[in-house]
Amino acid sequence: MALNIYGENLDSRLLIGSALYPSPEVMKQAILASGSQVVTLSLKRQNPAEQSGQQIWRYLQEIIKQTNGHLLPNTAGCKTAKEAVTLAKMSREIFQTNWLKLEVIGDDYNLQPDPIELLNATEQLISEGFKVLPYCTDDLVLCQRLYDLGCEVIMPWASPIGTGKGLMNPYNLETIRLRLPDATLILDAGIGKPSDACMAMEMGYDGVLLNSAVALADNPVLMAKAFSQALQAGEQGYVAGIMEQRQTAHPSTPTLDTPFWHQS
Amino acid sequence: MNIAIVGAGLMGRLLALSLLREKAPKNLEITLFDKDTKLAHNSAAYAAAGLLTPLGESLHCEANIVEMGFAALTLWPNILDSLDEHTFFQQAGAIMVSHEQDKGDYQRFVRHLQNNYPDQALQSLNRAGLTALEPEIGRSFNQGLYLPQEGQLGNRRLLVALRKQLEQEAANGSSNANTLNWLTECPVVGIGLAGERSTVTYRQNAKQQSKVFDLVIDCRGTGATTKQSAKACQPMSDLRSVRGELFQLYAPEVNITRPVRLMHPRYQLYIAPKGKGFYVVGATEIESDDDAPMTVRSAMELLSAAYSVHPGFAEANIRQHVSQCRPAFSDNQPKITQQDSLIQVNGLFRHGFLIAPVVLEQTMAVIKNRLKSSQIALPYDDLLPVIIKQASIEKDTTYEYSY
Repeated sequence: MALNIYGENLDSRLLIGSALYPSPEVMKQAILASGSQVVTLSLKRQNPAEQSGQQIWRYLQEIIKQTNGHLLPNTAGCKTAKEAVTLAKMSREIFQTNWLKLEVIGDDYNLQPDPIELLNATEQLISEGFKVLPYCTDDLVLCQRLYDLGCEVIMPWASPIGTGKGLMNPYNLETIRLRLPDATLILDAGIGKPSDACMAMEMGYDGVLLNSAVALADNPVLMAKAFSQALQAGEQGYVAGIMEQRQTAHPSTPTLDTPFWHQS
Repeated sequence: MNIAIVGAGLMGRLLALSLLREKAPKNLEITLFDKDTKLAHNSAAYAAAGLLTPLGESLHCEANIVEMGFAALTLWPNILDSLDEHTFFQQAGAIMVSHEQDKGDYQRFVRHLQNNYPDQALQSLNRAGLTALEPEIGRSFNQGLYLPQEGQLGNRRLLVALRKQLEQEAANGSSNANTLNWLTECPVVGIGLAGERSTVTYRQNAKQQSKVFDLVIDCRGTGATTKQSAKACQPMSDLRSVRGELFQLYAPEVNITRPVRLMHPRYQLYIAPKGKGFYVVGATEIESDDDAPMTVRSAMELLSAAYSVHPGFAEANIRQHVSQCRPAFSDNQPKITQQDSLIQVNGLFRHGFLIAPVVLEQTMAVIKNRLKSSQIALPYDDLLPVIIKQASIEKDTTYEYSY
């Protein structure tokens, strides 16, 4: 089973960020251990016009080459559609990719995406040929609108960026899955524990994007591996078909010494 | 015996002084090349705070750096005592505080210290304890951590003291007949291995010249990155630049006596008291080789951090804003690399003052082994192993996946 991102099939369903690691070397080991084939990176503070961050970009490109993966530039830190579009165009030029994790922040306190600016930016970028992966809140209507604009991949949050609070509103996330059965849904931001990622996959999400949960672990490399396995467990659980919950206990083996009318 | 040192930053100066004082072997002719002036305003050491806080750094570096930091705390006083000019040095501990919204990061730091450094004395402080230690910041925070072993030194004063000492000892001459020739504003454009010896090609007064040395010690810092260094100049393929920005503030109303670190989701922010009302507030850490002046965003982050620790910083004068790139390898570890008569010392990253004395002793041992062609045990092989490169092998296998 492969993860489909704009027609590209990937073996791993984990997308991973490249910030906050103790060192580039640890980052590399963690990305390799995660098995992830999509690595996000932010240009915002590296003066893209001057290409002053190119040492670390080259390093990431080396890693990508090893995993046969893709770089996914993001627009982290942008607050308006205009800013995001400008940065997106720079990213496309530098990294030679149409893929873009679109992030337009509306609130400094919880880094919540601005739905209005996000829709504006999405519309513009799609018309310019970008393959947009929008980071958004878990609002069904917003996700629907993004899908209608042509986003084949939609990335609702689990909880605010970097909080590690996990799936704050499972009902919303499940609803989005049920109502957008054909979209590639990736749960992005707020993942703290491997079990959070597993839960998303059990819901039928197509993938999970995370960064802090691995980068800030005491042992990022081991945590990356744990997430890789959690995603596999969740996905296999979903595919295998999870049993329905029941109100009363039900013995899995009939007890011979109990009369049948006393059983169940 | 003639020796070239390329780069007169912190490591270059420390090595030059140690070699100038070296008694066995003697008759050393030392040439110190630097593209900067003697003021060293373009060196990473100038744009630093001189914090000697191994535990404070420990969350973002590996255990051997912390060990080196502790060793350096005992080595610095001897180095400073050997200089005629006084350099500020203090080991009165440091304080770690956090705002409520960064409490998660703070708890992670406390847990990290407890798990990894259980023998280190650390003291959790409540508001009263914090006030007792640093009366003026106690009112801003409910809790803090006191790390009593941490210290700091006057980094810019030290660069000046080392310059004066080098000039003076070179002028006076010494019993060991060692000499020092310091060539400033003199960029090195080529370092070549030539059998047992090495050549240095440099530009002085717009004229290119070459000289052969028995030993070349390369401590160019970011000058040795592939971007800044010519191919003929032995660039280090795995070396990158990490931009750091800091402020120098004059705040006579503020009385803080120890370094204060503030938890921040991305950086290690600190306020380092420099005496007489001066404070250094730093430092950002950005994956970039841009050396343009500080950005507004960094300025806002650093200044609001300072203000949130002590409102008295609102009335401070901004004396200077500094941005400078620091050299780092991909594992953020310092490296001493030897290839016959070329020794390269680099990658001290944000830990220059923290670990310099250890790097110095280890490098001096490597140099002495080379000069005397004997083998004495290296003092810090467990913390800072020396990488021996084979001159015959073109490709450096250590950095197989490097950039």
